[in-house]
Amino acid sequence: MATPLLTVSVALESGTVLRAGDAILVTWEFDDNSHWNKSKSLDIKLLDDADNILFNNEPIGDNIQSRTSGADDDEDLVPNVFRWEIPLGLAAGDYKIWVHQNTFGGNKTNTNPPGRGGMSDVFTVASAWTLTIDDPPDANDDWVQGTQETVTWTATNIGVTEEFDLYIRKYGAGNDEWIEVAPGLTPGADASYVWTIDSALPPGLYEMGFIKDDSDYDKTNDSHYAIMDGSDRYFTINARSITITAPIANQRIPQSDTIDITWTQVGYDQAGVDNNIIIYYRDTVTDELTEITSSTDAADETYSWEVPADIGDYQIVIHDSYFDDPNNPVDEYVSGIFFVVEKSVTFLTPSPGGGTIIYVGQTGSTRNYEITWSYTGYDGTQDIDIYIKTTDAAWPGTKITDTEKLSDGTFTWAVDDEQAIDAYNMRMVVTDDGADNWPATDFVFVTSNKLLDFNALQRKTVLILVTDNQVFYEDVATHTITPISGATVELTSHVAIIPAYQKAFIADGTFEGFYYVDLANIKITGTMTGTLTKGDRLVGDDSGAIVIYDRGTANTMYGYRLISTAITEGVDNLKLDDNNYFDVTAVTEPPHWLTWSADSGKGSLPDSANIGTLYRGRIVLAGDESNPHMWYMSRQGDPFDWLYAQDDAQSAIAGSDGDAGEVGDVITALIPYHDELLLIGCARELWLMRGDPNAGGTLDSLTTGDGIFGPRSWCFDSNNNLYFVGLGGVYQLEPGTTTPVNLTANKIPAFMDGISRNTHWITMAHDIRRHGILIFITNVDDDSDDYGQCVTYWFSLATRGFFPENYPHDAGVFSALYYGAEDGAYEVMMVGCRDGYVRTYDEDQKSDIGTADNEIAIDSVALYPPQRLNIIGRSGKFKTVTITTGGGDSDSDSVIWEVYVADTAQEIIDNSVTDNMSNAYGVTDGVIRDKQTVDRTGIYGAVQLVGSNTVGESWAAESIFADIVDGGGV
Amino acid sequence: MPEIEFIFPLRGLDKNWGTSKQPPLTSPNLSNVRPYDVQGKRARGGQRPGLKKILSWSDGYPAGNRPVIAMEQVTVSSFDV
Repeated sequence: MATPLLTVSVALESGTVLRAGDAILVTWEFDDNSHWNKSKSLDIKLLDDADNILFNNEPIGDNIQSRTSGADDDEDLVPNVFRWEIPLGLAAGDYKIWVHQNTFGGNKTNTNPPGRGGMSDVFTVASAWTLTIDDPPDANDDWVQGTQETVTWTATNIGVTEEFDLYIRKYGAGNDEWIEVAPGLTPGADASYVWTIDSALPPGLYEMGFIKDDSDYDKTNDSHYAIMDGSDRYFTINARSITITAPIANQRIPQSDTIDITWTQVGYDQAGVDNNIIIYYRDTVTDELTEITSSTDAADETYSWEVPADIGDYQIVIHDSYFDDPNNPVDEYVSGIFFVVEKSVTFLTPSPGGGTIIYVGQTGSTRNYEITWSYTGYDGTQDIDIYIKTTDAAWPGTKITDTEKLSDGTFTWAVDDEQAIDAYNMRMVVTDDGADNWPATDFVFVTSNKLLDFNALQRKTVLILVTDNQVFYEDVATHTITPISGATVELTSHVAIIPAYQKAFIADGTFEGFYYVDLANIKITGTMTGTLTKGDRLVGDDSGAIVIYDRGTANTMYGYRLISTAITEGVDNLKLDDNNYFDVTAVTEPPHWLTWSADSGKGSLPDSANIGTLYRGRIVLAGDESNPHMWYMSRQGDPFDWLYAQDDAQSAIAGSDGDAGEVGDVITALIPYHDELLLIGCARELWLMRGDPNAGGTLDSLTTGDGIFGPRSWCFDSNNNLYFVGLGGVYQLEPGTTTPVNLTANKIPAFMDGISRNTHWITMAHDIRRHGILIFITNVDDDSDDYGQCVTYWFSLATRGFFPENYPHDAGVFSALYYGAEDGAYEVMMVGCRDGYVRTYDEDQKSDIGTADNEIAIDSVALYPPQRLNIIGRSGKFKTVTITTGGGDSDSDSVIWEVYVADTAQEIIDNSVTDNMSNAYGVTDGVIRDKQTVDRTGIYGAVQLVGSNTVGESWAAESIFADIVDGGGV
Repeated sequence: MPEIEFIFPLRGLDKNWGTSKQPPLTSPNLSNVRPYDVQGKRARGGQRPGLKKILSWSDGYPAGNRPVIAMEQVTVSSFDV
């Protein structure tokens, strides 16, 4: 071997074990400067311990100056140093370093060491270190900012003191974007590291790696990192979060109440981490944030807070204190909008709006009044008391409770019998609501004596009648017919009076002859403020009087007084509320006579009418002289709305507007039947309307050829049979049928002889108590002396027979009514008579009473039908007659009996009816059995009883028997 | 036929048939009688009830000796009429 010219040494750069990735320092000395071309450079090669040059004879150091660059030739050769980092892939083993002049032999690939150079001693490279990050983390790990997670790894060939730095970077980041998260770890000593994930780390997908804490390891060089293996290369960092769970959206929180703000959190519960949050509330109107707390531990997940006293809509806002900038929040957690509301108690009964009547003077449980309430803003545990005072007194008034609980929601007030009748306010005091006793609400109500009001307010039936061009009403208290002030009408023909809605609507048949009598409402003059509508309950703020508003204008209103309390004229405001009321100047009691016209913008009534009724809540009119076949209907429930054919089922409607259509004949009567049927009687026809003409109703012809005689020529019995008079006589229409049956055709065929609409009115009425129908046929020909003469038929519903009656001329009947008065003495069949008086039938009255209160005898007669006295071919001898008169509440007065015997029935009738030639007669008086001898022979015999035609006398017949013997052949 | 009974014509006036064919319980001649008498209110026949005045009048009424051409009743609930 040639003498080496260089002495080569190898040393570890650091540490004691040389591994791949470590560096060695190669130094050399020149043995003989004289033999060294100072300008020559050196190559350094790695050899194994068998002197094989590695790396394909490629040097690990190339063209290395043997001396300091720039030195002159005279300068001594100076040893140099070459640093070589052992490649990570170099296998463990023994190696040598050969340093030689690279021009030696002119071949840089000199493989003949040492040549012009030198060889180091053998040095050993130990096995390479490895460092692999294990699971966790792995690709499935979702880590959260601020939390602590454990990083584990496997290290080999790493000394316990060797330090590595732990780095992460976002997925897809560059080499220079590694982020150091844990420097100076000693993976050779430790197997894991607890990493607190910085809250500032943006959420996303990351990878992790170690790099040796050595200046020779380039932190921007991926190949210098020991990173996670491929399968676990990535892990996820999520943002930490807070979800506010209370208050919730739309929650109503009483003002100044203390509540718990609650939330759930993710990532705010890690030890050693800043878990503090800042809580605000936000006014959603102004968007202003107000701090509730500047710092509280998010991990607590609750915070007690007194909500603002200001009513409003708010949100809870939570900021991470780490990032907090209210104006530019990074992490902001917001609740739903909740409402801070006022604390309140609302009375349910009595009505907080006023007008409730609480009765006194009751006994037992009926004296109890149930006060009920609801509340907001309390938890219900509070003690409460209820106070009352009269409206003109000051609080606190009188306590009526003995300390109840708000949560009860009800209190039974046993109203003292001595409780003064007055208008009161009531309020509730929440007695333990902090330091304050404050009223929950107050209102007006009125106590009233139920018993007294029951009598005063009970239903009344008032008679309205028309006579002598005037309209009268009955003063129910005295049963006195009293003229209504200003109530004049034109009497040309029939007058329609239509009772509806506590009023009497009147159509007198003349042009625009429409009026109404308001019988229930008081008239109040004064000034209206705001708006009042039908049905509003108004309470007098001074008197406590209660009035139900009906109609009115700015200066006049009509209303129904609900209680007997009088309105204070000139003082009271009848209030719906503070904005809508009527300032009372004066009050006028009913009845009121008013012109009936349509409200403004509600159409107009027909030109005229004298036939009317109420059907399905509509006023129905007919008899319009300019349109006599037309029917008109008001809006349902509103007699003042005549705007036809509006787009709703309740609209006013006329025959020309609806699907039902008109009738072709002159209308003579309107007959409602149970609000489901309306019979429209005409001169020669009868029509049936089914249902509502504005809601699918139909109008069908029922009969042709005969109709209804006049507006009042009909009535119902108690079984809903309709009876009416047509030109053919008296008809009956049974319920559910459509074919009227003529009741007189085969009894009194000439019933209508001599009767015409021009000269007669026919009025019908049902006498409920006597179970019969009255048919009054009255001469109204005022050019005749018979004007007012009336032929009446009593149709017995029990025996189905017609019984003709006649009355004194002055008592001729023009109108009739079974009057449903509350006073039993006046609940009678009433007839309106020619002389202007109203009369009734009275079983105790044995005469008729004339105009001058004079008694007029009743001329009565009954021919008992003729009977055959013997078998065919033989006569009979009427030997005796035995008459027994009747008694009961009173005894029969005198009655004349007449016996007729003849060979023909006709002869008997002629003798009895026309000639009054009886064969025997007598008079009985009182209840008596009177047997008299007749002894007359004939084929037919009959008995006729004739009243005495004497004032104050009446009669009844119990029985009549005759002894008959054979009278011989005929 | 030693005895026959004449029964009050409870079925009322009947002028429809031949005089010898008068239906039972009817009569061709009736006036101011009703099947139910006023004394006992029994179906045996008797004079009709009399007509008497009812209701008083305010002073001066009725003034014109003119007929009552219409009557109607109105039901109200009121303190005032």
